[in-house]
Amino acid sequence: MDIQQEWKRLNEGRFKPGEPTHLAVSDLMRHPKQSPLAILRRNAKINMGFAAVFLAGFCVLFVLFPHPYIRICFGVLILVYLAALLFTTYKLRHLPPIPDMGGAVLPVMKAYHDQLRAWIDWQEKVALFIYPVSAAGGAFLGITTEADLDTMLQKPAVLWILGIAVVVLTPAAHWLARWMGKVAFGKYLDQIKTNIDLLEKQEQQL
Amino acid sequence: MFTDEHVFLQQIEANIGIVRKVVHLYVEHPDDRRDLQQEILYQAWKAFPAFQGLSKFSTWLYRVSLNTVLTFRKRERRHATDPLESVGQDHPAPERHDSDNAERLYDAIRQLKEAERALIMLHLDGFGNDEIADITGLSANNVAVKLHRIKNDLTKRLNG
Repeated sequence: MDIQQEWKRLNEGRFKPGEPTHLAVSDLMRHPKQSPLAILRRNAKINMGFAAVFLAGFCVLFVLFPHPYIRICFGVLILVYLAALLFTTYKLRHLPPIPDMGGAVLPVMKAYHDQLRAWIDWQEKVALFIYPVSAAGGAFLGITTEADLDTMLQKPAVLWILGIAVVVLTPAAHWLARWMGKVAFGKYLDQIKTNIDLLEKQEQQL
Repeated sequence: MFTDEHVFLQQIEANIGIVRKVVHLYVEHPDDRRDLQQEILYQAWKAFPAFQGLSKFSTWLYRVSLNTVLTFRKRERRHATDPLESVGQDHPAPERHDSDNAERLYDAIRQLKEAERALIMLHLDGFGNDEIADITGLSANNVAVKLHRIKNDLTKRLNG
């Protein structure tokens, strides 16, 4: 078989347009999906937006509730959220711009994957430490609206309930955060990883 | 007066076969193919201002198409039940007088490793080793060695 000849025949039969495609610029702008890189960047910004809203809320509660226990809890949360916001801003600024497809895409995909994966891991680890603080702060806040916090904290039953709430809520919140992270970032990072592996495997094969 | 859009659309019209070829050799499902073809056109349009005419438009479009496929491609959807069904979605199926040999060649290329498909496709489309090296980022020597191996492999598959 003459491969070149058959390829020519294949091109004419399978790939040659039968009719003019009559493309218009409006057709070109109608893109069906966004690059996973762009989606990741957008979702990181949304994540930052939520963090900013929570931070503002914590600041309001910090001012409105002067009890030292509440202030300690919300003070910790404010500091951690502030650090997370600054860190995320730094990370996003240092991500390379999304390349046009005429250039090299592998290094950019690797940068996005590695940096965002590291950022998510960091968030998950830090969050594990603040969930108990957050749960305790929430509980203190709830108690304060109904009774005197100092008096209530003298009661062993309240301390038990508080302890149980922290023990139950911490893993639950961790699991929920991981699930949300998977929805917002995980599947796109996996998609990029698959393509990175493919490109790297290609380089090795070649 | 010819605008950038006009030039671009003319070039795309003339080279749309490249986009179709890449999409068909890398993606199976008709919906994925349609999405990906549209995505390639969009990415090409976006990248067009950076195209300075240093290479041929077809060379550049190949690079954009391959990069887009490798960046945007998602896990494959379920394959179409009939391979010919997937072909007929966005362009006519090959006519019967297209020899079975051409179909066998298409199947054989699709069975190659992903990296090899791009190399043989470019080679059969008449690109020189230097141009293939430019598109794939390999050295011309590496391209030559690899192409020799792929052609042998392809011949064995077709004759075996």
